[in-house]
Amino acid sequence: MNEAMLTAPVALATERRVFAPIRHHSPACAFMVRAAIRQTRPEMVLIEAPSDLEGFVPLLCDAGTIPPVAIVALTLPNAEGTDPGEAEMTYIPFARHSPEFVAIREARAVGARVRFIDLPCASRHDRDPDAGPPVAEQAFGTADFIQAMTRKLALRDGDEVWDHLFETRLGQDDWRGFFADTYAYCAALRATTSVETIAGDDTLAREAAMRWHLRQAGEACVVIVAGGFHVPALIDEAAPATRPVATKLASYLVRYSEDQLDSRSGYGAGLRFARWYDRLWELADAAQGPPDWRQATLEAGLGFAAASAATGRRVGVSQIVELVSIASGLARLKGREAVLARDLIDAARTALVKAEAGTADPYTETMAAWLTGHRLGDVPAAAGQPPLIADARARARHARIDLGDSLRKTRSLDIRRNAAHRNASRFLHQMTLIDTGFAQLREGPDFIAGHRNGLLHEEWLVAWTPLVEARLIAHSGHSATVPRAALHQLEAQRLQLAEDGQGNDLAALTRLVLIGLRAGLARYLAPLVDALKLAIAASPDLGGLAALIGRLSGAAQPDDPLYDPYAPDLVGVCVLAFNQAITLITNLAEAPDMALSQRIDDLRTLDAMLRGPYGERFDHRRFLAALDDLLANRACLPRLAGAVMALLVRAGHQPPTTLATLLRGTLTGVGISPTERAQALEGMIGTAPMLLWLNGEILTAANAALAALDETTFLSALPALRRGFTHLAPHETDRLAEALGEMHGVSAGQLLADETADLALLARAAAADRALGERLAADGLSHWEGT
Amino acid sequence: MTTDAPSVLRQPAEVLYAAELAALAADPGPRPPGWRLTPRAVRAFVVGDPARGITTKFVGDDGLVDRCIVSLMGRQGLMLVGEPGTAKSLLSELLAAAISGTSSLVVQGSAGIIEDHLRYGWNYALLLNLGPKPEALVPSPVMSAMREGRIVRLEEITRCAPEVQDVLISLMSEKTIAIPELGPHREERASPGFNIIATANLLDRGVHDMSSALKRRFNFETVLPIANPAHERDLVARQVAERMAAEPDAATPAPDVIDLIVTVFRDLRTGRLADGATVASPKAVMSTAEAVNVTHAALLDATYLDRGPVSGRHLARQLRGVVFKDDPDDARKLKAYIDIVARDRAGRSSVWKDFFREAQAISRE
Repeated sequence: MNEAMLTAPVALATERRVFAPIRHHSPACAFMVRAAIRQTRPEMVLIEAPSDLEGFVPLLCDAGTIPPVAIVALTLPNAEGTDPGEAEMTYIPFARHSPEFVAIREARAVGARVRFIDLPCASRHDRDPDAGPPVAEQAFGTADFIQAMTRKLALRDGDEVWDHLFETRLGQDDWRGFFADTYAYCAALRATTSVETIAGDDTLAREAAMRWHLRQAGEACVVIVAGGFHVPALIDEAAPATRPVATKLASYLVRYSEDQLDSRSGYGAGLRFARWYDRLWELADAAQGPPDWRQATLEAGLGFAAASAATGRRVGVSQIVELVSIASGLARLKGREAVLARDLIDAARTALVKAEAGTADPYTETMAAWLTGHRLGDVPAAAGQPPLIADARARARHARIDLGDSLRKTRSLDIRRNAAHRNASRFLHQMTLIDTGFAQLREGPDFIAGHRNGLLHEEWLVAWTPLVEARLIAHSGHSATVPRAALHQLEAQRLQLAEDGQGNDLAALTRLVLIGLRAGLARYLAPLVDALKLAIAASPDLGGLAALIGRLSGAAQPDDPLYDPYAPDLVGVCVLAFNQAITLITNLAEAPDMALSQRIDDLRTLDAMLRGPYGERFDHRRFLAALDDLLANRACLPRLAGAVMALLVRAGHQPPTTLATLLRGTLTGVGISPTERAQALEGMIGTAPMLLWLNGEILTAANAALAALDETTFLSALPALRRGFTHLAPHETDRLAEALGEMHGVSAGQLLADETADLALLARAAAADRALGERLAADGLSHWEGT
Repeated sequence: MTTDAPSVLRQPAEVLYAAELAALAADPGPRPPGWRLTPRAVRAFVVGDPARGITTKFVGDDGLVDRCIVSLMGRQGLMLVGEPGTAKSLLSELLAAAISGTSSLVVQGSAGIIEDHLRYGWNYALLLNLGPKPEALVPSPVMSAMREGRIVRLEEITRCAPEVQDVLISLMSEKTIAIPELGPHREERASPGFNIIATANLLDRGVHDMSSALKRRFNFETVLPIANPAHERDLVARQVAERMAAEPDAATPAPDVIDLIVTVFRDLRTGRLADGATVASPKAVMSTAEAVNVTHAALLDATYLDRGPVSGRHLARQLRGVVFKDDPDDARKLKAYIDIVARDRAGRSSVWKDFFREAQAISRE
């Protein structure tokens, strides 16, 4: 079929059938489609759009509908009692220069009926949402034909090739010749795309449905406006046609924005630089012919200068002149008069950047943003309520929240034991994230800050007010469901972090991840987690990494309230942080004394990972090797050495004798200060105190060393030693007392002397002390008190 | 060592590719005033045109070449900036050879450059003998370019003192050099076809800032490292072969050896592995030119000291010395890279295994 498509003569325009192969959002195609409909005056205009959205045609023709607008379709109807769950959404955008939009309005003008002939939205939602743009769109960039064309024309990619060959023909009159050329181009795309790729998504099913609709048109005179990739399959009358199954769907017409039309931002079908193409369309429409390219270029230069001045980078007149002249030069070098979007971006780079610049620099980004625009379209009042409000109400009803009035009500949610309550909690956290004012958390565990984690219930105050609706309307421009709006906010917060220069702040990013988990957005957190991974790789902060590991490893445990089976691999993130921490361990020898306690705690956290439920995922060997290297460093302080040695002995990497020797050496050292004496012991207690009661050799060595000290040395070292032992938890002190008791043949109780002295005795001692003080003062000997 | 040694170490581009330039000169089409080739032909010369037998000389960024050509057609000069080892001087030479037919009008920037090097000097013997006459004038390459309507190349312009750089400011606006010694109102006005291609490393030690007045007269283009790994591999293989052409005893390195060194350099340069994992990027510039140096050194090591084919072992030995020049932190980053990435790949490839073993042994010293 592929070869035949290219070589057989094709009748694109006959008495009954006029095929218009287009590329979505192409102004040149829109101009030709309008001319075709005007000249042909068909009875019907068939458009490649989901057939279950045909009802929107009158609304699209309404004078109050000003593009950019989009039809958003949601799979699940928001009926009572059903779990809204994760609604699948599709956006069908329309710009003023979209061939489909122009076709609808022109059809209305000539009195033709409009039919949408693509598969219904609902059946298209079975596709894998991560599949990316449809094959029919990707082909414009990836087909082998494009690779060959870029080489031949000395252009960079499929978008440049299309612009160079077709957008330059905007405003010309020969629509038949134009569509013959787009047909040839798209047939070549199709012929050089493998059959497996085409069968890989629902392209074939869609084409079968479109053919069915075409057959239904019978003998009527019809203009067919469809993506060029599909037209070779539609012309083929012999191919099978399948009647599509009608399904129920919730759909809305909403305002859309120029930057959302940008194919980069995810929709995938269409051209970038909406404002630029819109202006070209406007000029062509006004001239009823080719636009004044020179004027468009000058406007672009001036518009860019204004946008650049707004960001604080003033552009002088001579620079604008240089920009325009380079853009024109580039166009002429490529053999055309028309200056296109990429030429303008390249010219901005050459004329304005006065330093070394990478692939992205402020000027080219400003130019790209200006060419894209950010205008928001408008929809008439008849379009109804945005889907976001309907979705929020459905979810609230599902969470058994009464929306009948706007009074504040309390809800108590048992998030740990009740799954439905946990879902409701997530919904309320999402609404809080969007800042709707709908719900307020009065009492409950704070998993983000780590307070009061033991509480079982969350207490909420909820109220549905007009303010809530207003807030939701504000968000409906970019989201049609509550989870999406919440995710959008989370992403906005992350961008704000980057703007504030905290894009690499581990604690801030971890906090966002935890907020996302708490709000039930786990399955969408991959980009945020990727940002966190980048921050980890660049982090020089051992403490921050250890803290992150502590928090995220908790959330990865199945019994944790934040746990979600759809979350990204949090343990993997911990492993990355662990590896980064290992590279920083070698620098610990230079850590200042004040920070040492914290660093020893960090080492303990890292070591705990090796023993935790995911221990085999962490690199034991490198960790222990790094600790070895740290010990070998002569600058390593005794406290650090004690801590590190204890970890190595506990892991079995070093024999206990080394630790025993170190303890003995530091405790009985000659000429060292009292604080230093206790250092190694203190360090060891900081990371692996259990060695004292689990390993007889170490306990014996420590005990013997302390016993060997003379009275004065021991007393001077006593405060530091006592400080070291305060780090032990009460149950650890008990274990140590037991072990010591066994060693010395006494009971543990005798060692743990009961410190609660007789109250009366204390009172008499205090009185005596006071009396003595007064006596000394009376005798003029108060300076003796200090001795 | 070889039977017929070349008469010079390196030929200029217009001699090396004389045949291609002659073929391109025959192309019809309008030429900007003073240009020997049409802009399209210049593009074809630099970027290559397999259909006509024109070799690709500059790999990587075709869009960059387009913008350079368009800049040179206008009134602004062209300033090529970027990290060391990205072939800025090569591009400057190719453009000059194609547009003006000569790439030898060059001023090498350094701290010793004075105004005379940019304007004109005197042959003092003739000056004393004849007095201030045109015969006694020694034109700088800039003045020669202005007279002949050609491109002059200013290499490493930021290494000149700022006062000397600023000579260019009025020269580039007025496109004229006044020569008062020859008489009142005597000046040399540039003929059409005159332009300046400058190169600079902006972020290096020992460079001065350019004044913004001077920056305004240039269009800056950043030459980035090669984005496509396959292109980089081809380039390294080709350049190593050129360098080893004088040593017939050397065996050609196996493709996976080139692949290893290019991969190591790309991983460390970009800070990312092929699967998206991040690695710490050392401060030393890991340019393609350095990769060629490392491979060349490894080949010499293998051929003359080891008397065997080059393997990962030799690359590991040369890597540290050639690449890590100042920062001790870089040594730590390399160690981490070897410890994790090289160890992992050693399990799957014998070349990487050799590399890893030798690198580990070296890092233990």
